[in-house]
Amino acid sequence: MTSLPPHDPLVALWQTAPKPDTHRLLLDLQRLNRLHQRLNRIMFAILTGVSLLLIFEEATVRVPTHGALSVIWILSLILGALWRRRAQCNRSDALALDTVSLLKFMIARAKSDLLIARCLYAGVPCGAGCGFLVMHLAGIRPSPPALAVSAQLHLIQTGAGIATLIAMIVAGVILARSRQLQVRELSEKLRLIQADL
Amino acid sequence: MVKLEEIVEVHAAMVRRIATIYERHPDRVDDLVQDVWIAVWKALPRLNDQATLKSYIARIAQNICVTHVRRALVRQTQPLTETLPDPATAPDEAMARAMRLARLIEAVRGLPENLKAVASLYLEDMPVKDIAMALGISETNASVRLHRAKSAIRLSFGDPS
Repeated sequence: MTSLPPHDPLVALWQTAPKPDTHRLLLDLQRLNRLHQRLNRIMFAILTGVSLLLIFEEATVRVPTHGALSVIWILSLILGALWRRRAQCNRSDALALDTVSLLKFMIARAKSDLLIARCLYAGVPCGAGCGFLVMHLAGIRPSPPALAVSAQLHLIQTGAGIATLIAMIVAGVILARSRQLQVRELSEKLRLIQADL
Repeated sequence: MVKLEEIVEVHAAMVRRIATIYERHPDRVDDLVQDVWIAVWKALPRLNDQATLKSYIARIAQNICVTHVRRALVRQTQPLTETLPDPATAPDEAMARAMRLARLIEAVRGLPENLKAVASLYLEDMPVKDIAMALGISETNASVRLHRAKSAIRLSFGDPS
């Protein structure tokens, strides 16, 4: 396909920019694709491992919740996977929108991410505290045979729980900081793009 | 269905030129270009009309660049001298053209955000109608902005003809 030379000398000059190295770019894209697939596989392995552990814990009555936790966990995983898939499609579609609509979409998404981040760093410790109180008041505790197996294991489980809690709070703080910056910068860009409309 | 390799081969220069306007640091330009191509790769199956491929990719590139949020830590600018050759060492036509191009890039980078977006698409030889559609503004508005952008570029750059 041939095209006419640009009529404007500025455009003509602009198009004389040297051609980039597409070979390297394609290699980088393939590498990123492989990394992305590997990350997906690792995530799948971790989540499957956690699910199996939870099922095992409940099957051996170490956690006396009669399978309720496993069911909630697996349902949450399915819903999360569906939500992620939908979000990915929405993101791809949004990129082909006009810039003003895309900026509005991205600001709305960054704000909802900010809310999730706040839930992580503020809601998680509150939830954990409430959960502990409810368990304590309702008298829900590990069955005596489970405690008898190993006190050390019980300690490891508690430690792992607290570590997960701290990791979630830290992740929430980092995510909130990044999303606050995103909301600020995107709003400023939208204001500039819309200036004198 | 056209293969991504062929699309990259044809439109890589355009994507890089658009990214260069929004990002000064060469490594970050590479990252931006990669982001654009990953987005194009994902969005390509949903493109219905292959004839609009160029403006579709230009729009995605423009959107990725505009929504690209720089981290505060890496917000540092490179001096102009790193992108512009020294006029004293311009022996031939190619060098002179490279210098003019570098000055044009700097002129476009220096535009306000609302004019920069219009200019980046106009320089890719997109008609005003497509520019207006890509940015979500009216054609009249796009024309006014384009006129202002060209005046500002010519003012800081000088007429290239």
